[in-house]
Amino acid sequence: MKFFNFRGIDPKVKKNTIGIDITPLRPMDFYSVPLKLRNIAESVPVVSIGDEVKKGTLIAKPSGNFGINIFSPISGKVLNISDKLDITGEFSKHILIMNDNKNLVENLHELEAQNMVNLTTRLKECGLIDTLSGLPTYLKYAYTGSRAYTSLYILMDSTDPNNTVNQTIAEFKMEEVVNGAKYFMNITNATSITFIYTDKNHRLADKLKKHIAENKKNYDYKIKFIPNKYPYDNLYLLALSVARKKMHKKSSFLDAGITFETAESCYNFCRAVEFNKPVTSKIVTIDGDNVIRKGNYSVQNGVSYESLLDFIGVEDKDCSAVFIDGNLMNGEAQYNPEISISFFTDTVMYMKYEKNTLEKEYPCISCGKCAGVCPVFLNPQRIDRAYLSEDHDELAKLKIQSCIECGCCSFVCPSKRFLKQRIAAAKYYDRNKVYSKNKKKKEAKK
Amino acid sequence: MNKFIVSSSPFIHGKQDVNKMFLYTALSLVVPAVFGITFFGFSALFIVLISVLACFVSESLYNFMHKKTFKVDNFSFFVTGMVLALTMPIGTPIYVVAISGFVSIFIVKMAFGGLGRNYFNPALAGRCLAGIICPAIASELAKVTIAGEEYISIAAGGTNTLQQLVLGQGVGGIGTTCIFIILVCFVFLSYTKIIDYKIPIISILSYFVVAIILSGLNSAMINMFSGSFIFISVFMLTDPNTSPDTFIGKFIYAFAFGALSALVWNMGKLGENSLFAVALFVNLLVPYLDRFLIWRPINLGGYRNAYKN
Repeated sequence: MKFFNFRGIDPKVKKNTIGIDITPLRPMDFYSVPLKLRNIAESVPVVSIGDEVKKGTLIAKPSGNFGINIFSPISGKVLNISDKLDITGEFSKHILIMNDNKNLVENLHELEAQNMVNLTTRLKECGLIDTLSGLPTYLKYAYTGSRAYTSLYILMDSTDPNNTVNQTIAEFKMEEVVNGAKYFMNITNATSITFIYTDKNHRLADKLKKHIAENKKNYDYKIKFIPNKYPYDNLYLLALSVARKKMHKKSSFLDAGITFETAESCYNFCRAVEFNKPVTSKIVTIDGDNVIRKGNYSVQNGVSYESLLDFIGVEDKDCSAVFIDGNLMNGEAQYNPEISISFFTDTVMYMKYEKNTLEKEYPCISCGKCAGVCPVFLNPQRIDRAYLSEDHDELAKLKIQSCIECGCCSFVCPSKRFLKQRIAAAKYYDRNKVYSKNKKKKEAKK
Repeated sequence: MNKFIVSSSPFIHGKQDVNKMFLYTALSLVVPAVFGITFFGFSALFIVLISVLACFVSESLYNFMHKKTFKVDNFSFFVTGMVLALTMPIGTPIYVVAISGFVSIFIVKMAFGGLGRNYFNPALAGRCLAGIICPAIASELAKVTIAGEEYISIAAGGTNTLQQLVLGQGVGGIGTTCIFIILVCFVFLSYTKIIDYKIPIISILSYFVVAIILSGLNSAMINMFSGSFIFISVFMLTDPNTSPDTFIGKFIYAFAFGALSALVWNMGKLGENSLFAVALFVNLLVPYLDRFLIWRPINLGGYRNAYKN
């Protein structure tokens, strides 16, 4: 068999932003830079209120082992450092910077030589984040001694609906991506690079082949194709499908010596190495039927949703709308326009609200379509039934913790049942129950 | 400024709808019903109407008794009534049709918790009951006189050719005689992904294999087309609720029905009623198959090891 028996779905959503080059966003007046990004530990500010900063000045550094450096996105004055509502719904520290329109730029120091040690320190300095695993990128390469990576995979495409970030970078910034991949290869023990495309994008793969044949010498690379099915962006499933032999009987793809990078990370890393630019912006796909200027934008860290909407233009200003941070399958609907965009935002959807999207659920007819589509081979209809009848032993037997919450089951369900939501709730319950049980055991031992 | 509405992902859904599935099944059932009415006469229409009416009354009665709101938006009672009526021969007493319609909805479906909770296909259980309380159905199935012409079933020693059987010139239930129309319905239903095309194909193939071993090719063909075997495997076995989820489960389920019905048809002299009993027995296997023939999940949740002491 050519591919790992991957199930998933093809939502057949039209990608409107293919082939549109990356547009920089106009400078805003205020930037409120978040210091905590999802799972990554909160950084500690190194500037104080009233300081003048340039574009690229270090404004926050990691407090522990799991943080990142954060750089100023604009030249200006620090107005305030205070707690503000985060994208996760919690309060965390933000630095508010006012633009002074002087356009002063500060770069990282020059690299003396592009050897392994220097590249690793540069990776740590530049503040790069791996959007696939949700961790700072340098952490993956911090333990190269014990975990030798032998194969490097670059994801040049996305299977998420509407997301065209990697595709656009792979098309228009080919030189940077190819160089960045080379720098990543120098950090690891990998002997060659494998670029991953979906079935749909043979065009881009041919373009890459042509580019390397014309401009590069002694560049070892391979190209692999994966089916265009959601959710292929899950790292474990990707590793299973791309390198099945290496994954045999391995609990983690790190043990198998596999590492993944996106085209965007390669692009940012190349800029950090060659032009000494720290990471201050994120490329975001903006799409949806209520947006006038759809496309891929280079959005600086700390831009709020409200100012983003002002720039891209809103078609109907009075209708009730859905604003999604993420793609249509697993994004998060936002309610507060003042929240600022972070490095984890890939896609922003702004759509008119349709009443019939999710109104009412019908009884389950156990057709088994959800079980046939689940990428991790769960049986959602049985989980649904067990959760509603509060059969918690059954829930543990069905291995609900394997669920990756991709939403494929909810997508295909003809009865429109809230499967994804119920499984998420069941997971939460099960986790707490096991945790409290073990806690009691520990206390009894003492 | 716009008003932001918050809901949970996914924000898009597939095109399949449970109400549409029932509606399309009901529409496809109308075709063999029309053929049966034109072939067998006005009394066939009467049986269909009584059966659907009995199903409607019993469902609304149950909901009234237990103070539930009656939703007609899915046509599940209509589908049950139609399937039940189409397996009955003409000349079935009206009270038998009414009783089996009532039992199939009230006891087999609603008493177990309504749509999606039943262990048996309601129409199948109702038809089995009709076969028990009225043994005269068996003789109706054997021999019938329509417009002065006498039709005798294969089981009772009739000599129909294959072409006659495919075009519906035979004896049997109202909608089960014309194999051609049933196969057209099968293609329509599997094209719209309402039923799983694997179940009828596996059951027909397994019937064929076993029957050829027992009685040769020609008689196997004629036996298969003369009874309601194909109607059962297209419309009754493929009920999503009473069929297994996995492919292995579906294979065992369909193979068991095909092989067992070939055995019963060839070895015993029980006639067509026995096929429904076999299908009812096969339905009983489904909870077992669903429980033990499941896919092994990919283990992505490492928390149990993490919290272990």
